[in-house]
Amino acid sequence: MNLSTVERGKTVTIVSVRKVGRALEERLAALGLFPGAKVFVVRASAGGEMILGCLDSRFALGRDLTNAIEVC
Amino acid sequence: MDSERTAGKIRVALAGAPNCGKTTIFNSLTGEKRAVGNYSGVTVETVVGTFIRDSVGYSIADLPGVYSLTTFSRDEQVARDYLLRNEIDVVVNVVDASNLERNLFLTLQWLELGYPVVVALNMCDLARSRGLNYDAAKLSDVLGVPVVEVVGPTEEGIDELVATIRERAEKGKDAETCDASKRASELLAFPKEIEREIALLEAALDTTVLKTANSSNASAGNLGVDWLVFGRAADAGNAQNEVDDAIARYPNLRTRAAVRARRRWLAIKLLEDDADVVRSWNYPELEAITSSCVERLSTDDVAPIAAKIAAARYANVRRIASSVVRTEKNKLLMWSDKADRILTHPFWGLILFFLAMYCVFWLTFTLGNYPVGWLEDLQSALEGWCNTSLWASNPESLVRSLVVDGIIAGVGGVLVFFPNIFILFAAIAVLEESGYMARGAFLTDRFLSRFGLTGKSFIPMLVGFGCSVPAVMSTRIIEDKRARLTTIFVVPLMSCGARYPIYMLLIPAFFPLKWQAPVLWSVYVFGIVVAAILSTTLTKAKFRGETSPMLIELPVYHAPTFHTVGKKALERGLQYLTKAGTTILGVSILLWALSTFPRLPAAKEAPFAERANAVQTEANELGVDLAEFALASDEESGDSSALARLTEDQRARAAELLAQSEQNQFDLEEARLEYSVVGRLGKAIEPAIKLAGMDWRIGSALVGAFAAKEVFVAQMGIVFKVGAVDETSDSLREILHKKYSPLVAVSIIVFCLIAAPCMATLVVVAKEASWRWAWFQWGTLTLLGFLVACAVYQVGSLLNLGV
Repeated sequence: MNLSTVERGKTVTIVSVRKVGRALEERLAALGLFPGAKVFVVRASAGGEMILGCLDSRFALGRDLTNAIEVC
Repeated sequence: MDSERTAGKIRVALAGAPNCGKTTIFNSLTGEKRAVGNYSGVTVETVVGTFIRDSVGYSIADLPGVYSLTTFSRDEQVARDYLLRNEIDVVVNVVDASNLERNLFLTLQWLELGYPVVVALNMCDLARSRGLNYDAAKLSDVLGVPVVEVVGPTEEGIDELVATIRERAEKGKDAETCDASKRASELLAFPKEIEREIALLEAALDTTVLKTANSSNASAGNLGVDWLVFGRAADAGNAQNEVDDAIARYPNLRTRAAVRARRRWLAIKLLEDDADVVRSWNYPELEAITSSCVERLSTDDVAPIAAKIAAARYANVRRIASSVVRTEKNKLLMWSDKADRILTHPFWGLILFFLAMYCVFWLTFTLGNYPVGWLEDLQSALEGWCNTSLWASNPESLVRSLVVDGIIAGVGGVLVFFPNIFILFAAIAVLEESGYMARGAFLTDRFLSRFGLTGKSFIPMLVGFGCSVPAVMSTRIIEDKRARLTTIFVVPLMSCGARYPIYMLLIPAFFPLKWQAPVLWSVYVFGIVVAAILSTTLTKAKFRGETSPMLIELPVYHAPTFHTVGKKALERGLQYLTKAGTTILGVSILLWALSTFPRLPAAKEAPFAERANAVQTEANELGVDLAEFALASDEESGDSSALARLTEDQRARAAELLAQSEQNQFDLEEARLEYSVVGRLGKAIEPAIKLAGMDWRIGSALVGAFAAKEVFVAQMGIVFKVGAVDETSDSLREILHKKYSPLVAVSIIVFCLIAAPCMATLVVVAKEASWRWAWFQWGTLTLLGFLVACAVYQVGSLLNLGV
């Protein structure tokens, strides 16, 4: 399913990241957001923006990104 | 780097992820010697500081905080280039102990590059309070590099860190530079299938690149090739001078181990298809081998190779971390998440954010205007002293005019902003350091990204209502270059404090009381609407709709230290004074010259002097000193002894003479202005601005308003011969009301709102972005302001509105 549809408080595993441009894909990977990584949804807003927990960090992602990430 | 400055010193590069507390450690190490702040955006600088401990000199480069050594951002490029191109004895890797895994991800990359690394384990106190129990000795053992525990703010462990750096650097002068590489080989190992391709590429690098390295194909300055040339030279035991030459150019590669590490690193970069490493190469054979390697690895196609490599690194990191850290519940993170339930709430979060922004605005301008007032008092006292003491006998002196109207006014014009800028940057530092800024950006990003801006554009736009100068400077918080340039572009459309006097002069002159507030409000809203339209257009037209999606780290909340905040604010304030200040001073002197020269010929001055003399003679006959009389009648409570000895008739006559004398002075000033370049410019643009309903008087006032918007009001006072006025002057309003229609007033207001950002803004934009961008902005806004003013006037006239 799409990351943007995940509810707050859920922990999911990233399956794939759709093409969002190489630089961004690399940045996501460097932050620990690569296929196989577990992420925790700290806040999910109606528009698709999210705060994700990954390792001991929190990241705010715009909806362009949450829409591009497939999770399970 | 300046090699003379660093000769004989131990050269240290301070590297780490954003929010790892690197700068605090840099400050602890160097004391107060840091020269300029580095900030992301248009200019990213690597700051080099120096310090001496136990009679050993150190030079230390504070690299930008990075998440990885790819080239996603300018910061990463700067950090990487610095590491590759400069001579470095030790890399001090600051690791945030409370976020060990993410930080070790970067540590592995420093090791991969083959540098002697010292790990400074920072925020140990924070980590412990988070419930993280880690074993620093074990970490040192696993990584194969020294690990020093430090607490940045209290400087705990700094002495030990310096001692370790020194020890490491001295050891590095022996043959074995890269002791980590042996142990690291397992830390840095990738899964078998990736390792196989790396080995292939390493071999390919040796054969293809090195074969041709001595021919013209080896381009100077290439990120990779030259090092390999040296590597081969060292390996093959080539002629000594060739090795010496390579050492001179690439001193970091003193040993074979370092060369091998670098070769492996280049192979990995080839696999990652790293643009910087690959772009300048021209080895068709190597390219073919690389693409076949990449093809073999891209079987499942779910992620780019770079992501696979990152995942492999994280797997290594997890292994290391799990062996040295025992995690209980992360208490701080839980606390931070709890705070974020309210602070990032789509409704309450926004309300609190607006409140916080209001506080920033209030502090900057309400609180800041007290010291600004003192500076202005000081300035006028100085002007008064020059006028009454220094040049009392010769008020017409050109030097006096230059000093008072040019230099003091110019320096004053720069200095008066300093308190605002200092307070603003202190407030921003508090927001940044505490971690709240990132939340604010998250909250406003969705709305602002529709207009090609980002969440972080909010603060500059808000500050713009006070003054464009600090607003443009505060765009430094925006990392994305396009968003930053767009924000800078629209900041002047927020009606700044200096435009308020113009509105307050014109609106009451032309509109009935009940319309005044709505008109003023509409002016502000109109500015915001124009800004939204412009930023959208700019993003679509100039940046082809490219906006980078939001991806911001939200650091755990923590209390900012007084020291860090003060230092940041002071640094940026001083930067303003030195960078912008000098140019602004130059431009104000130029503008002074333009409104002073050419001077009125003596023949034209003569009638005014005659009139002044006539008035003076009559005053003498009357026995009244006009200056004294003016002072006495001005202040009702003042010294009335000068008035007491006069009869009623005499007093009336004296008042008349005073009025004549003043009128004569205004006439003279107008004649001078009309004769000067500024006045002539006003006349020259009259044919054009007539389309917007304005005449040369308004034109020259607009030219003067380039120096500072509030000058418009004073300039109108001069051309309409009512003398020194401010926006509350009713006499000026009456004249304006008789001379112009409300439509012209609206046209002027619209023009002042949109067109021609003041000279201080122009200079600051040039310093923060580029002169090209500054003039592009200035020209576009001026043209747009003119067109809109014309449209307002022409359409209004056609419809017979307010004429």
